[in-house]
Formats: sequence, C-alpha cells, structure tokens
Amino acid sequence: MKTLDMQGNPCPIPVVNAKKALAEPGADGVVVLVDNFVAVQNLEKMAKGTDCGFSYTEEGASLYKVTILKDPNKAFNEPPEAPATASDAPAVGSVKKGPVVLITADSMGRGAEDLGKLLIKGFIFSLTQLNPLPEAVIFLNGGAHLTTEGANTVPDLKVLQEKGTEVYTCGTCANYYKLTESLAVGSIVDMMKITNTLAKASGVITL
Amino acid sequence: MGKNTESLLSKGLLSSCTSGGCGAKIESDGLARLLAGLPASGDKRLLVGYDTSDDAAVYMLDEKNSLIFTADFFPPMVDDARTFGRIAAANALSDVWAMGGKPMVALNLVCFPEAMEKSVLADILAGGAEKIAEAGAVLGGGHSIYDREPKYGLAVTGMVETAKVIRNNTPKIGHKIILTKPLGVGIVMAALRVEMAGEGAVRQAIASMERLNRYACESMAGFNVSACTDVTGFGLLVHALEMAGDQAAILLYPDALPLIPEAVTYANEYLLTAAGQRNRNRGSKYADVSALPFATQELLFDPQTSGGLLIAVPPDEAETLTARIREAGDEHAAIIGEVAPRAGKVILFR
Repeated sequence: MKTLDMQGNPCPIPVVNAKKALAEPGADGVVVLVDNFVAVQNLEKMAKGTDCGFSYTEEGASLYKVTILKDPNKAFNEPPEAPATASDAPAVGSVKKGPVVLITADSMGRGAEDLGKLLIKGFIFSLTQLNPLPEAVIFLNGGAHLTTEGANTVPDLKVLQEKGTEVYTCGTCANYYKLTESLAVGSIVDMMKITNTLAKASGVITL
Repeated sequence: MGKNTESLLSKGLLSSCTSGGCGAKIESDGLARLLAGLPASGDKRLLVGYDTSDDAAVYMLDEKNSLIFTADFFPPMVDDARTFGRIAAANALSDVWAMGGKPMVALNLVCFPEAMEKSVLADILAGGAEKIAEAGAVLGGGHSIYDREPKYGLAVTGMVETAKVIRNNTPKIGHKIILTKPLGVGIVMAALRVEMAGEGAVRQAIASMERLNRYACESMAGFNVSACTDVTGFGLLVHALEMAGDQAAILLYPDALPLIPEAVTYANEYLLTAAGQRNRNRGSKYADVSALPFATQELLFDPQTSGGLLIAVPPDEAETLTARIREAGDEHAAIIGEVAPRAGKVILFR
C-alpha cells in the first residue's frame, strides 16, 4: 500500500492526495503521514464519507499515521503494518498476549467516590505487575480523565507504556471533556480502533 | 483558471504560506483560556472588553461618544498582492461596523519576508489604502517587520455614539437573524490552493471578501438591532454561538443560508480547511449537526475571511432591513434564523 508523507502540507492537500491515491487502479488503500490531529480528522471525514475503513496511530509528538482502506471490512483486521522487521521489534512480541483492560470511569466500583479513586490508582499500579502485561488499556467516557495531565494514574500508565502496553484514550470522550490537549500518556484513538482492539483481545477486563 | 492566475502564482504569495486568511486564527477555546488568565482592568469606561468575545473594544469618552479599537492581520489566502491587501483591510475594518461604528484612523500592520520583492509589499499596501479610503477613514501610519511569511492587516480606531454601541451577545428572544454575505469562502480558497476551484467561484469569493461591511452597517440605522457581529474565522456556527450569550439559543434555517454554490460541491469533495475542523471540534458540543447534509455542516463551520454581518433585529423589521441591505449592494443578504429561549443545545436547526 502506498504511503504519502504529507507532513508540512496544510489541509486540504493531504485529503486531496489521499483521494488521488485511492483512485489509482488497483489501490486497496493508502497510508498517510500527517503532523496534526485536525488533518487526521479531515482524512477521517473523507474516509467515512466514501465508505472506506479508517484507523490511525500516533507515532510521535506530532506525527500521525492514518490508514485508509477501500474495503471497510478489512479495517477490522489488523491495519497492515509496515513490514515489521525483527530488528526494530526484538523478540518480545510473540510470547503470550495479556488481556485488554477497558476502563470506563475515573473511579472503581460503586460507593464513596474518593475510595473509588484510590482503588483505581491501586488497580492501575497492579496492572504494571501483571504477567503477561495487558496488551492494551483503553480509557473511555469518564475514564478519559485518567490519562490526562494532573491525574495520579499517569506515572503508572507511563510505566505500562514503557513495558509495551498500548494506552488508548477514546477521542470522542477526550473531545467531550475538552481533554485532547492535555493528554499525558498514550494516544487518542477512535471507536474503530477500540472495537478492533477488543475484538481480537485474548481476554477483556471491563471496569 | 486562465493566465490571470498563472501570473499571480508566479509571485508565490500564497504558496509561501501554510495557512491564510482568518483560517489562521488561534482556536477560540484556547484563546479564551489564555485571556482568562489576564487581570481585568475594572475600568468602567471600557464598555466592551475581551471578556465577551466581541468584535472590538469600546472605550467611552463621554456620555455621547465612544471610541472603537480593533486590530486584525493574517497571511495571504490569494496570490494577487493587491487583492490580498484589499481583503485584509476590508476584514480589519469590519469589526468597527460590527459594533455599529464608523472607522476613522487606520494603521498598517505588516510582516514581510526580507527576500521577497518589495513591489509585492507596495501592491499589498495599495490594496489596503483603497479600502481605507472607501471606508471613509484615513491611513495614519503603521509598523512593519521582517517575517518568514507575509502578513498584513490594520489596527483601526473608530467612533460610535455611546448609546448606540451594538454588542455581539445581546440578542432579544424572538428577533430574526440576518446574514449579509454568502458562506463558503474558506472552502473555495481551500479548493483554489489545490487548483480545483472554478473561476466563477473564486471571483465570487474574492468579491465577497473585498466587499466592505460599511453598507450593511449603514443600512441598520433606524432599525432596532439588538445584536451584531461579523462572521469570520470561527465560522457561522461558532459566531452564532457567541451571539447567543448565556441566555438565548439561536435557531438556524439551514435551507435559507446564502451560499457560494460551488462551495457545496467542493465540500462534498472534502476540500476542507483545518480551521473548519477546529471550528467543528468546538461548535459540535453546542449543536447537533448530524441530521444536516455533510456539505451544510461544513459550510456552517467554514472559516470566513472578511465574512458578512450577523444581525439580530425585531421580526417585524427583518424583511425591510434585509431588503435595504440588498439594495445597498449585499445582494445575498437573507434571514437565516431567529433568537429562541435557551433549553438544551445553544444552536438549533429548523
């Protein structure tokens, strides 16, 4: 699949070039690299409006990798990785996959809220001790507060991330709570990515 | 687009810029947070400050007269230097009319690359001077610095009768809302950037951006206007949101919106700006646009460089005022909504 490096190009240039690439004969999709989240959102509108599959990953502070697939059913499968070479993924990967943890609130259990907050901090710390480590921890709705600046859960989540666990925050939720700019750990993802991650998890823990 | 465009492109004014026009504005949410950290002066003579996202500052001289202050500048959204100068000046002057005032003195604000030909700057300033003269104001000087990308605009001082200051967020429930210019200039300029815009659309967008809001403002004399703002970088929906203030809701009539027709086509081809998406990110919290056609949604969020006035006026005066604004030359002026009591979302659709 063709990769377009659109960093430094203002909207609508990334969208226009992605459309051109998708229109090429035989193209099954396109990967677009952009340097801002608004461009990701504009690509998403085009992808969804033209019934393509859409997913993206945050590759760095200002680098997003957007994958658009012409057959939307394929979007539920793993987005085709850039030929993952053994050198940049040392032999950790293929062992045993841990569960995916879905956290939907910023406190754990029903009852006193301050107790709930204490519990969830403890829970996230204990995830760092799990073997195998969780494959991913996904934060949605009120849970989105736990990955943003000022949350006492951020240091443990950073430890998890360093050990290889993906930390995802639901983009719609971060937007809703105006947290997009204060994300402190992991990446913002859309519902497609969340669904995809849950669907292929070896097990799911939901809070 | 013909040879006119080619000669313009050779100057490279637009290609030297990452974002042009009002689309280059810093997003409103981020700004509001920064401004909240500044100390409020508490001076009673400052009738309108930065706390209500209004168009310009108003400072009361005495019971009778007040001064209006505003400044606006941005990078080019067109390649022709003189056209850019006219648009930037029309846009900067507009805030004075949005307060119901008259511009008096303008100062040039200039950022210009050291390596770019100085004749380009002369053309930009000539375009600006044209519009300052048409506004009935005088050029009093200015300030210029070297910068990587060219930028131009004005700082403008105007005058208004203290009793006749028109704020942006004081619309009366039941008043009708008039928009004086068609939406879509941001999308048309985005299409131009990727050379997918038709000549007719570009002409209409440029004519609209160059058009002074002076005539629409002067048409308001004698009408009981309860609120007025100009539609610029935040797009119609977010400016309507600011107009609604804390108490009111704005009910928009999507079918009545004046549009640059080709902008609908371009929106459906996803020729969209970053600023439009930023406006969507902010505005969609206050409005459920999901039932509207995609292109209509995008036009509601489209950043308007030098857009029209948005005017709230009593229902029994709305038709007459619209007709008067059209006669004065803004032929696309239309009644596009009404002020409703707040219950739920701030922006509603009929």
